[in-house]
Amino acid sequence: MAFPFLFIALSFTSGIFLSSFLSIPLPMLLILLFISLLSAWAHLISLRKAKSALVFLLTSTFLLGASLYTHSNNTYKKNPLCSFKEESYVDIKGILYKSPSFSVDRDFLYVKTKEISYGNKTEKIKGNVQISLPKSQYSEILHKLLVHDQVEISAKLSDSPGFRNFGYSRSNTYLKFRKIHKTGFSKSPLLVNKTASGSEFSLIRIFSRLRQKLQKKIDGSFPGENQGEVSPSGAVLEALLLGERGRMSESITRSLQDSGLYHLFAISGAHIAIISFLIFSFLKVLKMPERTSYIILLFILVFYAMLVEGRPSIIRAAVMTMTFLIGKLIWKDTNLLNTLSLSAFVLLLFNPFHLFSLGFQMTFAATLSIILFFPLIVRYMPKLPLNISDILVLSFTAQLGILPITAYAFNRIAFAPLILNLIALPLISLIMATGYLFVPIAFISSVIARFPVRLLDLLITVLINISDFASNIDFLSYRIPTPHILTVSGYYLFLLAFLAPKKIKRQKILVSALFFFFFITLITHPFPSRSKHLRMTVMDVGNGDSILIEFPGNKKMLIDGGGSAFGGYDIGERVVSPVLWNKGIKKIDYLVLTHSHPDHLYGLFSVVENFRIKEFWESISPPEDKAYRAFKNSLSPKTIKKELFRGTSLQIGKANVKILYPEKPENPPVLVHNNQSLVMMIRFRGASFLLTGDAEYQAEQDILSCYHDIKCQVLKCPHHGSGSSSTESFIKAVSPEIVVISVGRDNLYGLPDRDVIRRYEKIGSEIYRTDLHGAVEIIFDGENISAHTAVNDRKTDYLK
Amino acid sequence: MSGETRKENLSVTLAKNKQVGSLLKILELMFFPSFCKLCGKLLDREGEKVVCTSCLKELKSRRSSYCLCCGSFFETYGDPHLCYKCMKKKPVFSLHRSCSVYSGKLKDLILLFKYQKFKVLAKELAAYMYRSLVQDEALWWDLEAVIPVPLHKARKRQRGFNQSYELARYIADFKGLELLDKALIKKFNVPPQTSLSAEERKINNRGAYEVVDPWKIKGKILLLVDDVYTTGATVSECSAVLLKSGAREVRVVTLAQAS
Repeated sequence: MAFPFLFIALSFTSGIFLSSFLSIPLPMLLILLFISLLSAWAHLISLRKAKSALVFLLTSTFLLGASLYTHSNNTYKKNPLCSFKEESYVDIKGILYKSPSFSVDRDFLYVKTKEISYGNKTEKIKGNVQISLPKSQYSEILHKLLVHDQVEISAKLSDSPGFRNFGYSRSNTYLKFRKIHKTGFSKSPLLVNKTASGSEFSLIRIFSRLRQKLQKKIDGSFPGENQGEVSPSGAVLEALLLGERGRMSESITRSLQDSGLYHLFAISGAHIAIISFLIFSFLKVLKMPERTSYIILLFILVFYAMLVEGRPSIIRAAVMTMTFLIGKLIWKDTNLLNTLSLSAFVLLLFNPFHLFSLGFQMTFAATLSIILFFPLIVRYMPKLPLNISDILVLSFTAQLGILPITAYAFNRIAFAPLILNLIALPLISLIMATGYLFVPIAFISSVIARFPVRLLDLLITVLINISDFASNIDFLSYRIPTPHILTVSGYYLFLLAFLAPKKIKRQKILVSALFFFFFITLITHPFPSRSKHLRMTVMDVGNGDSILIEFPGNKKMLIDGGGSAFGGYDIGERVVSPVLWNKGIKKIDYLVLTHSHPDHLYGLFSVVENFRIKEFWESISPPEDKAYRAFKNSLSPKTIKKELFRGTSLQIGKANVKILYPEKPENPPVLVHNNQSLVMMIRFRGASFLLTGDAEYQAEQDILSCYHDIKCQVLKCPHHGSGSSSTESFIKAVSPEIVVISVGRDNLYGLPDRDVIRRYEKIGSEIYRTDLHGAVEIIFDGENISAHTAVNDRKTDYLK
Repeated sequence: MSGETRKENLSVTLAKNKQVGSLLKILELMFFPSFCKLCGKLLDREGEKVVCTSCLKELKSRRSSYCLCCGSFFETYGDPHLCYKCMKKKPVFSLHRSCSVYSGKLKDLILLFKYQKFKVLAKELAAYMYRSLVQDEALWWDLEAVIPVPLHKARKRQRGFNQSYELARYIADFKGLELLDKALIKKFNVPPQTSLSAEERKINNRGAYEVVDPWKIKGKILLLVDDVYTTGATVSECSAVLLKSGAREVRVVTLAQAS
């Protein structure tokens, strides 16, 4: 058998996978494991039945996987930090278990806690916390910290961070996989206090220090605009050499993701291949005997894996390369499928949660696909110079393996790398080779280092430009709604069916046809997103508004896109777009901007990039406002732009949309104001939804003076529940059965106003808040209204 | 009592070692499942590398008659005698022997060894060589040192090893003879003999070899080792150089002779 580890890894993986949703108690699994091992042994030794022994052995690895997952999961869940609840700031004493990491807008500390003090209490709690700190002029403090340092930090510990929209639990698996029990936030690096340094003689610290020095050298040679910052080329170089991707700016990251080159920036198999190639060529030039260079390469790879703080992809590649080299040294063959399975087994043995991490899935899908299909396809390729055929087939087969994963996890279909890799792979090799040459030179003399710096700057600029160019070609790279799990399964099933031995007539044609069907389904997502009912989803976008209306039929309306005034986290890309994609939405029929404040507008930039917009609605916006103008320019010329004011009434299917506010002003305004908010009423079969934007007192009174009957079943509470809106007279006139307040958790403004809550309670409205309930979905089926919340997945019915 | 315990302990250790050995074998099979490069069989026996033991067992030495001097094989069986060529003109070396003809499994193995760079096969091939020729008194009588046909530096770097040296090393080891690996060198790189015709081969090598340490070979009976004997041009040239530098006699062994 050429690949025994394949079966071991498969049974082990299925053990982990099954136990992740069938929770079987650990003692039972262990007993079964013991029995299974015993039977395997008995069959092998005394009964001499090799086949049944093998079956029992594979059962054992299956049970081992299940036990390991259950054990790890129990230990994770039992950690006292997971159940720790304290709303205010706490003092943490602990040790850094990893060196700090730095991104564009935030820095992260990883602390193994020893003691947590809050109020007057001090508790001994052991667990891992990830604490994020915003960038500030004091960020330099964090650069002086290293793994194993003892620290004291004041921080606020919170539950799963981010935004609780439907299906949000995904982020939790990420924390689990990284063994982080709690996340936290600290306002300033000044709240971090180093109490003692770690021992200088630990290997991990030595590597961490080396890494930090390298990073400093790069920072110094590629200075950014401000003190302590790194230039865009420098950030790209850091990503390539050290795997520090967080420092690349959002726009470069986006461009690389769009062109599909981003994966080359993950320290990955490609890196190991490039490095091995560079070292091997270098040793060859030095006339080193072949077998000696294998040994040298082996040591360098171990060193490198430690330096870049191994991700799944790098461990996978390192294990595979090292097994290959050892095999060469002891004159044995290495089967690629076997070593791939071996590396999966090793990774999962250390951390079974790896199985659910995207990095793991991507690297194994890509490599497996290359191993299985490369030899089949490369035969049919013409011989082209410079290994062009090989690179093409390599990119193609790798893409074949990860296409469903990128579609599922990133809602992206990218064909660009197929062609782009031809230029990008050699270019990146060249950048890396120059980079590794530059590093020692930079340590010797910064003057001599200027030459490689120039060269690197040039090469990286070329790379970025190529990426930018490719990312703008729509059909080479585009976004797509989340594919159905059946599409993904069908795709993989029939991809693997190509390898099945021929059993039936015309098998090849049949398999090809079915595969092609699933492939096309995957890349086009031809399913219309239809809704029988009227649905309103108020998303959890933190501070801000973003509301999706699904009209009966297939028309969709998105009102505002959330957004953060401080930049950094792209809510449009990471929160709003995924919600739409998960609903299978490709185009937005009506994109409505109530008013151009950052918490309503900024998220729309990405929405406009990711979706086809048919009509854009607005009422009053100051034409001189910078952000607003940038947004208007980013709209496609094909989008119909409408300015709507009071009195407009539109029919969308069987529903009616009526604009209640504002009136057309005589002069365009200069400043953005809440009272410019577009207010509209949606009516369908006798139920009314009132959407108010950030309307305040003045707007409410104006509406009351014009309309007598504004009674509604559902109201989107004006201005995030602020005290200057939801005046008593207005509420009384509307008297909603359900009111939804879109408001950020723990916001600095103290919203929603307590008095406002009381006002709604007084008239007997049911109150839903995104800060407490996460996203809220209101469904009107023509007769009854029901409300559905993302937190706790609660559903409540209301009779109309 | 103590003696018995020691014996017991020893046997226990041995048994354990055997288990350890088989455990290692199982691990090796799991990590590096390898197959015979000739017949494709799984290499599951102890010590098997690159090719399986049954393929190695298929190596047989040629039983037919041969020329007493140049060692070329005759079609017939019977007592060895001089061939027509040697009767007319004796070769430079005093005698040559090879194990078999250059074909079948032996050829495959030599190709694996030389061109696929499986240096590890040297031991098996040398053992086969020794096995086949150990009975030939004329070859070993009074022999003093073993000397491989040298390879040019550049070629050696390319291949990583000198195939003749690897064979010579083991032969010297088996027989307890001195190995002279640096006495004879190849000064310049000429096209490989395999690419040339018989006539060209003779000219091709002329002057390519040189003895660097003549005192090492002075007055000695030498055994020159090469992998394949085709027209004898290479070994003739080497022999001539060696004799000119003071060697008393040169005998030649090769793995196979091509007809």
